[in-house]
Amino acid sequence: MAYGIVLLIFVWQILSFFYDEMILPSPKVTLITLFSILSNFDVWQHVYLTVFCIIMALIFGTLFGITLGILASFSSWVNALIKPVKDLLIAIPPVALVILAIIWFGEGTLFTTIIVSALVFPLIYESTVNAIKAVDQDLIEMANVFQINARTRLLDIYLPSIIFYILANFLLAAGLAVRMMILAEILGATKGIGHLISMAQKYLITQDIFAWLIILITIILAFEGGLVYIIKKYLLRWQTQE
Amino acid sequence: MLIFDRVKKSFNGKVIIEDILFQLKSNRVMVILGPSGVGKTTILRLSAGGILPDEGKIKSDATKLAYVFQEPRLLPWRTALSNIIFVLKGDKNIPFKERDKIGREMLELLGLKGYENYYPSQLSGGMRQRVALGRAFVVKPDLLLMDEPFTGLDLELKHFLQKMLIDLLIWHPTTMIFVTHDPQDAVRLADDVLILSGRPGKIAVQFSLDLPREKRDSEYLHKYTMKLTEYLIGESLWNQQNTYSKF
Repeated sequence: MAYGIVLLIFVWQILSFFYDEMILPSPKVTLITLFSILSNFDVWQHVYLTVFCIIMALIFGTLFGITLGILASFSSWVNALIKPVKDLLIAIPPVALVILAIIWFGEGTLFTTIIVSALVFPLIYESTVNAIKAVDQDLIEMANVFQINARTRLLDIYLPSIIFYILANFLLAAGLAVRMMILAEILGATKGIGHLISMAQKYLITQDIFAWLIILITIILAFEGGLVYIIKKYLLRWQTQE
Repeated sequence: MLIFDRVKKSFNGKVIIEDILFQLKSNRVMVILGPSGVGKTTILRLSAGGILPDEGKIKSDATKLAYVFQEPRLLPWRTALSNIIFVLKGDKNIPFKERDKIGREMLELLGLKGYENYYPSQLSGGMRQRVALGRAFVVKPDLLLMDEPFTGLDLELKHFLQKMLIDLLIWHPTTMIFVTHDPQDAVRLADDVLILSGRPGKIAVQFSLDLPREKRDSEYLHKYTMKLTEYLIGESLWNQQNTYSKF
């Protein structure tokens, strides 16, 4: 992977000789811009806000997805109600959804959080429904003979199975959440990283955009790394052999 | 007490067992022997009340049921201690702190002190089955059903677990049905022995072992295991001839 990155920077450096700074700023210029951006205290607040909104959107989308997924698995009525909404959310291109949401809810932080939650939700919902179908029936039979009550079944059998099953999709949803949050902010927010990127685009400060991309990549990697760490340490500790 | 009165059960039109008639008195252990497919597990499931007989009656005064399966069926995401406590959670009479204490005592009884926080994947096969035994006894059942719990374990481990089961039965005497195809299980554990054979499965022989299990020495075990083995082999030979003659 390290070779790939070196090669990428090398190609970037070569290409930047042939193009104007406004089209393709060199790695050096980008780095300098990056430091000047990060040394500005106001900018950090935008970064915090974006990260906070991403986490909130992930939490809301996941909670709704798991809760409704469980309800839908045990009630055909809820299932019939949610399924078309979920299918619609998956079928509509995210950008179209963002544009519609701006028209309906107006611009701002609340809107971006809602829209990203709505994009996370169907992914988690779908895998929760599948997870419940995949719950080990031997364990359910065991719970039946021991007359285990519904609450304990939910907390000790269903939820752990679901969490294990949906982890891959959750990581996918986390990646999606970061990307969609930036998109939503670019299109319709007055704060956050996306908003700063859209300002840079407006004034054609290309090196700013490049610097932001590097910040974003760092955020995504840190985010996924952090999630994988939490998953391994707390959620999958029972899976370790010996 | 558990009574089967001329019970017949079929699945998908195929008769699995018929004419099953026995009376199991409280706090006695009945071992059901017989080849695979003879309907041993069906009798367990009928006793548990999960399925109903087609004909005949089943009478049981059991209110608290426990089951040990062939596989441990532990929750992989819970520790050994949590797996044992798990079955007590529905019981509102036992407060949280008390549950924890009961669980720890049970693990000590199972010789698993120090393994409280181990996950099933970190335990050996025998340890997992011990936890499953503990989980069954910790609810203090009045009917304990065991479906070939020692099958597939090596001889030494099997011996060890049989002894542990005898100890657990002293700790909490209970009515128990133990299904197996190993005659040694019967000779070590049973008060009453039921041998099934044929298709559909019927009771071939029914008898009691009167010597208390704690007093059965190796000579006793040897003698009766041999007897039972000879009998079972004879039975299965007879069955095979019967099956072959159909072709």
